[in-house]
Amino acid sequence: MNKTLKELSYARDRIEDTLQDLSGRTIFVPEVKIFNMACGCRGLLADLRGLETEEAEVFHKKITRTLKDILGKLGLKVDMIYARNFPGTYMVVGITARRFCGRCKRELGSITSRPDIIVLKG
Amino acid sequence: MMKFSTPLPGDAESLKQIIKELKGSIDEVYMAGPSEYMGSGRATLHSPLLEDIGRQASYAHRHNIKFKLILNSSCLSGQHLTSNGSNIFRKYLEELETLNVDMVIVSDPYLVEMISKELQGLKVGVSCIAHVDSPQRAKFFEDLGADEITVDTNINRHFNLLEAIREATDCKLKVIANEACLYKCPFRYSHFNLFSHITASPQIAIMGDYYFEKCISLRVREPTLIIRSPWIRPEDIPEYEKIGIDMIKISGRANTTQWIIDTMKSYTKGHHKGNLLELLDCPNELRDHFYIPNEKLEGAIKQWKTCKKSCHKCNFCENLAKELILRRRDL
Repeated sequence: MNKTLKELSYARDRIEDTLQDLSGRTIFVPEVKIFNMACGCRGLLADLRGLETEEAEVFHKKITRTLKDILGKLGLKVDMIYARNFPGTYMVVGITARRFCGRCKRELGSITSRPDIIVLKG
Repeated sequence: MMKFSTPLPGDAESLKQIIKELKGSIDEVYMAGPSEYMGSGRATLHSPLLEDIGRQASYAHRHNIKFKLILNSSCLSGQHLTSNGSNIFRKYLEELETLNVDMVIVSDPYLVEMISKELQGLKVGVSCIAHVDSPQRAKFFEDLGADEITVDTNINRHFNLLEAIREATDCKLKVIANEACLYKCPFRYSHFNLFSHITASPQIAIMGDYYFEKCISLRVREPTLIIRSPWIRPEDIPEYEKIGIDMIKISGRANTTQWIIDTMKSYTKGHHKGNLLELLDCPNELRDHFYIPNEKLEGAIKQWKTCKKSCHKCNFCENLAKELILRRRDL
């Protein structure tokens, strides 16, 4: 397995453990991926099962610290870390760490960007 | 000997592979029909052409296996009751009759009555999506003309009800062994409706499958819900044979062909060693997170057969979950 994949595997386990320790509930991270979008944005995305919006808000500093550590090991620099909830629900379905392209920075780069996004680190 | 009904993904190659691997141990196969005529209650990976259906039906018949088509949309948007829609559905069903499909399985009472009355060469079965959960409802569908009934999975562990339904009707009775939805799932109607619409044309661009994600999230946070789901272990099939259930249906037509074959083998042999979640449809994702040693569930059926379903007083499933469910990473 190459170094990036090993780091991703480690990242998945670490995110799951961190969220589980913080919330005191079982949390499942089915998938972690690094991405590069057509617009130019890039970053890391962890899909989530079991985390609730309030927990992401309350523990945002500790979640951010873990993500930053992981991103450092992967050599990724990011502009924003945010949790996305399923619109109209308490379910957090993913945490994204993202380096913005110019357009997305204007559209998503503020705290009031979108109602389904909880900014953990702007 | 208990009979078994096997899911098909919909393409001819999968059918051939499934029959090659399972020949002699299965009695029927089923799959969804073409989406341009009618949706179905679950995700569909392949929408076959009518001629594909004819070829697959013939292939199954050559191996003495019945071929059934699932048309179990929970919502037809009233199309079946319009003059135009009724003509389209009737023509479609007549075509299926010509193609020697043995049975269509539907959830709408109107379709049960119409097919049984007007299409003599086509048998009609009632889907679990019709929620047959009482002798009265079973009798109702039998009187409409149903030849077989797949009972609501919510009563899989209500043996008194299953026995009463058996007494009340002469229809063939099926239970789905591995569907594993939440017990008395509050999303069930809405989720079936969603799939009924998105499996039919035109497709709807949804934000995501709320019901699926909520279902998984609930179980991840409270694994007891996995134990409470009304799945049936392969080892417990004889209990259903004893009370006169005619057939075990295995769900999972949206899964891979190899998964279908492996799951069918465990059920037809009546034995599975390892993680029970490997066999269950619906929460497939959960098998990557949890491990439930199937062999340690031996005997739990005795409790479930007489269970009063007052979970807040009982705690049997909660204790089992605490004792048995492991995180795969901790193994």
